Amino acid sequence: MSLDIQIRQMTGGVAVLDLSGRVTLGQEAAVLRDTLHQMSAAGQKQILLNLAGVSYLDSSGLGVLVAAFASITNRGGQLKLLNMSSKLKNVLVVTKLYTVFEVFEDESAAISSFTASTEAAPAGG
Amino acid sequence: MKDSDIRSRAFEIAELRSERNRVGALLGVLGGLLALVLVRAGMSWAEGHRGEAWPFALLLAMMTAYELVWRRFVVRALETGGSVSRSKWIGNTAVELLLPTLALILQVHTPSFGPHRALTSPVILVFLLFIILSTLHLDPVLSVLNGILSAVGYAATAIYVFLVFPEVTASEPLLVYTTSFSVSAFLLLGGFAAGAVARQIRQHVIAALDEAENRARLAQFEQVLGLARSIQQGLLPRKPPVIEEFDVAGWNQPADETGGDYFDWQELADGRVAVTVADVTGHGIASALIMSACRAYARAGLAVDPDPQRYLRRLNQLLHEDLPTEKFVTLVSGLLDPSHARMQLISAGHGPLLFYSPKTDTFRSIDAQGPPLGLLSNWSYGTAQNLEFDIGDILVLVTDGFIEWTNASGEDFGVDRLEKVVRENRDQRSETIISELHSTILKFAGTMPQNDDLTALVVKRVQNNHKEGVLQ
Repeated sequence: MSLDIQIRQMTGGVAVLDLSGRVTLGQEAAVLRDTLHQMSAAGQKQILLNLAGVSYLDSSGLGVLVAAFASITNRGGQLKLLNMSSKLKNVLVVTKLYTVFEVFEDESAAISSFTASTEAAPAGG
Repeated sequence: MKDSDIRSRAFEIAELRSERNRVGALLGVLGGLLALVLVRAGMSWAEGHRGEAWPFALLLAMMTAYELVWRRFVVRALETGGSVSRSKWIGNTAVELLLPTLALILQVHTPSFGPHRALTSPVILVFLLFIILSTLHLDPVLSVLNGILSAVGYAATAIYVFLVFPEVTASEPLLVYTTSFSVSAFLLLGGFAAGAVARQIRQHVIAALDEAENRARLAQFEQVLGLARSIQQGLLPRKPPVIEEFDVAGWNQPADETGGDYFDWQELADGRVAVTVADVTGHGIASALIMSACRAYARAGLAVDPDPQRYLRRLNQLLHEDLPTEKFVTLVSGLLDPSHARMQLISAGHGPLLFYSPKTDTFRSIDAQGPPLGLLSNWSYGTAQNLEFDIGDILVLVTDGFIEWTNASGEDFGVDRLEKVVRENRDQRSETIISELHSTILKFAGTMPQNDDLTALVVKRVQNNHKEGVLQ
């Protein structure tokens, strides 16, 4: 029931976080929040969350994702999402958060997108 | 008053009550002994001689009087909320143990007993009685003190006998010495054993007091929660709105005492009626507080300016300023214009939104116009969706508690089952559609508990409902 996070530092300054487990209220959401907060505070600007191993994400987990997105964007950084399950994608579609995040299916495409864009701004409608 | 003070006072009361019981038991024993000694003295009197029992009767009477005074003191401390100081407890122990010691010395000087028999007399059992009853002090130190003072009292009497009456040790000195020593040692050990028992009783009493206190706190907490729940439930509309040709019903059931969901309706100045369903992340007290803030902002916002886009933008900004990061609200509002059977529907991250048309037997799924409220500042929401209601058309707004309730096999209730219930009950009143939804999901979930709040709101266009008497 726990959440495991492996960090891969890629050339070009992108950090890929491989998440596996559940992102839910309590310990799990807190682990993700703290990890993202520490990385952002340490000056990491480009973060790609690989959600391939995430079986479930509840509203608290969603809150962590969006709050981290807002805080990283405000610091001039970027947070993007990779490999979401269809169920997870559906949650983002229903809540319209799909339009907020940049979501990728392919890791190399995701990583190269960071170098392509210099600064991210929230996609307000 | 600190928690530890409250607890120590509770223990003090328990200690005083226990002492009252101890003295009560002691008075019973003293009374019995006094009666026996008086009978013995009376018999001597009847036989025509003064007898030897009177000094003992006097001693017992004095001790009984002393215990009555001590008991009065303890009861007064109990009644007035006072306490008994440590020195008084110790002083009382010393005074009480004078009784068996003086009785022994009296026996030494009583001709029919004599010093030899006095050292093995049943009076020794009175020392033991004090030691046993001392456990009711709930204070291990006092029990040990009882043992020490008993041993000292007895040993002092024995030494006095050895010094004043050398004939006692003349024939079998070893036996007399070892007997006296054994009795002293036994009384001393008895004190330590009683101390161990007193410690155990003390711990049990403290545990019981803690438990009682916890229970009282829990009861208080539950009362507060119950109050919060009734206030929150009081915020939900009690009666459906009276709208010509429309039948509206809403229902909410929190997962906890309090929840983060709500539904609402509100008549606007221009004759339209706004219906709203919202879901605050999580449930419980924290979500309930956010829910009431959100409801207040939404109602005030709609009353001031019912333009759907501006309404959501303002609501989002207000909640973004108020809410802790990571907390958010999904909300959908529909502005129903009954005269044209039209509705402007706008959603902040809330879905699914289902619009059923019985004529074509199809569901139209409506997207949200932007993300949930409170997450991102200065967000501009998209244009509201326009819905045209034909007779029989049904709009169903639910919270995800309905969609995500899983059964024992891990399946979600899901949108398909929801649609099926609506389709099967399309000819029913809105209220019935909701109650069918509820009973169907209960059947589906079986033994799986409700983990999230359930809220549903149904808007249905009907033939002239006033003639049918649909609304009260």
